[in-house]
Amino acid sequence: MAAAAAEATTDGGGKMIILISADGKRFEVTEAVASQSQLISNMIEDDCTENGVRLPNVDGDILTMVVDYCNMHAGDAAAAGDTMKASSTEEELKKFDAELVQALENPVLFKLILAANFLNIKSLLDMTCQRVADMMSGKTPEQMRETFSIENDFTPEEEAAIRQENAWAFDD
Amino acid sequence: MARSTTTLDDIPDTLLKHVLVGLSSPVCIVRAAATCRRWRRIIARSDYTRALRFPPLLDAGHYQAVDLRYAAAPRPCGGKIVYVPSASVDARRLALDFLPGGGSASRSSWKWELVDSEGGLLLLAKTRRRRFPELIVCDPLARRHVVIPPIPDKKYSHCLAVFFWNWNGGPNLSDFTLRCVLHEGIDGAAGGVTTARVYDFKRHYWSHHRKYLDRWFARGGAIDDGDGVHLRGATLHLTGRAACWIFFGNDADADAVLALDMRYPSACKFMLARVPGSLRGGSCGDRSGFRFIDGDNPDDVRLVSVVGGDLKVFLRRDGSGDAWEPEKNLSLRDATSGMPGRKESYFGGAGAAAKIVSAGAGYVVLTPAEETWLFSVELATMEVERKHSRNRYAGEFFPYHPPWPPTLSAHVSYCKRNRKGLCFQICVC
Repeated sequence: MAAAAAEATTDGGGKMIILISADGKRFEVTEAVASQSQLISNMIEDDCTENGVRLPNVDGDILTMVVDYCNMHAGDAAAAGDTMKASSTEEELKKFDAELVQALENPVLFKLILAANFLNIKSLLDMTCQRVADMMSGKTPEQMRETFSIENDFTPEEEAAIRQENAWAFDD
Repeated sequence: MARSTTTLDDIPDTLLKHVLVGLSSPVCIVRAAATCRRWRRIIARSDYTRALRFPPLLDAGHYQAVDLRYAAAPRPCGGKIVYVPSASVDARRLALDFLPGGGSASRSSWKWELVDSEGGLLLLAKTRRRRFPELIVCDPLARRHVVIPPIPDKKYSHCLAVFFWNWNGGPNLSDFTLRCVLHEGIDGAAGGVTTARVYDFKRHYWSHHRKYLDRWFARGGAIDDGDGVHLRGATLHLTGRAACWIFFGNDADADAVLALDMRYPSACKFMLARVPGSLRGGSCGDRSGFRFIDGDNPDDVRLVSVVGGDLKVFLRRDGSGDAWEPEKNLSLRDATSGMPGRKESYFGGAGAAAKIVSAGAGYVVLTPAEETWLFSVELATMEVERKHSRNRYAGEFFPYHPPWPPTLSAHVSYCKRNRKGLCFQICVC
């Protein structure tokens, strides 16, 4: 059903690809943008993108963010095509990246990590993972458990032994 | 994807590892490993530490000995040892107030002197007149220490030097080796003939017997008769250590220093080393006249010396006999002129116009002979400076590298007893 759209071309000349999220939302992106995802890049090579790419693991709102990210970062990949994206400097990109992950709620951030992993977009995966690691730093184990709603599955004796082993790392 | 909220539990282990690799400091890592079993399991695996991006050896700062004769700065309570932290480390965590003899307020803990460091361990000594010193090895992070027993039958021997001696990997409190050089008489020899002998102390944990093996071993390589290095009525004192060499000055014969060659793990050998000709006849036997320090390569030895008002630097390559090449020469009078507090009379007289206070790889701290006015010379550039922190306490530097990766043995390893009988370890069973 999406064959016609998939065959459509932009004025830049790049071929368009339709991405379909788990809840049926459709996103039209250029090949250059989409091929930042190693998964889709492989599919393009194998010529199986004509009917749109179904991504059953990725929600619509997450895919919106991923597509935004890919559009922003397509500048260097497709310097010839998009004049507007090519103008975005490195600093702007960094600012965009920071804003993208900064405001996210934990569940959304984790979904974004899973989506980046599934779509195999390394830069997005690194960035989101680093964001979670940054959230961990400077926290005590209790604060970490609270932040990420983790259950403490150590017994009190075990926890005491663990703390004793590296007592220097804990504020006593 | 399910509509329910996504938590860290939905992130597979490989991805969680990718997240945890982004942690920026050892403290964060140890704390994350105390959060829950799953995180601990991931962090304790060796592929985690291999994937870490920051350098494995954490620079936690260093300890510095305080030389009470010269130290100008008000001493922090801690006696003759100060901890100089790097930016990221809380100095209170590495205070030595757990040492035997009470806390830092107690005067008895002031007697401990810092003698050597290796990895995350420190070697401390309490000198006693005409007796073998009390020795302890401590781990400031774990706040534990081990008392080193004296060498059997050598209770009254003069200890020239004692230091860590490791050939395999970073030591820890249950596995380390010390090397000790004693100056002692020779049984049955007439006249004040003495010799120097090497003893090694090994501490090793026998996991099978669940006990420690603590033993002193007399090493071969006491003074070789063939080399004729018996010392008649000599007073020896340590004049410095380079990677595989250790040197002792001799008050009776200032031209010759006793060198211990430790380049080969199986054998250590004493020999007499001649100092460069230009140093001879001076007051070289004195520890303040010259020092041996690390060269640029492991086998190289650098000699810094004060002759008159000059600082002279020599280099000996690859243990090549007594071939000392002159490397650098600095007139202390000219180099310090115009510096605040420097008096016209400094470095004027003949003889030893300056004293070496301490020296280490790449630097030397000096003072004029008549009074204390500490300054240091960076050997690479021969630049003179007063402000450097090493001038404050005047003593030697001892680098401190806490063990890396941090030990995470509690509740990650399986019990070796396979749940037969009582479990003695902190394990997952």
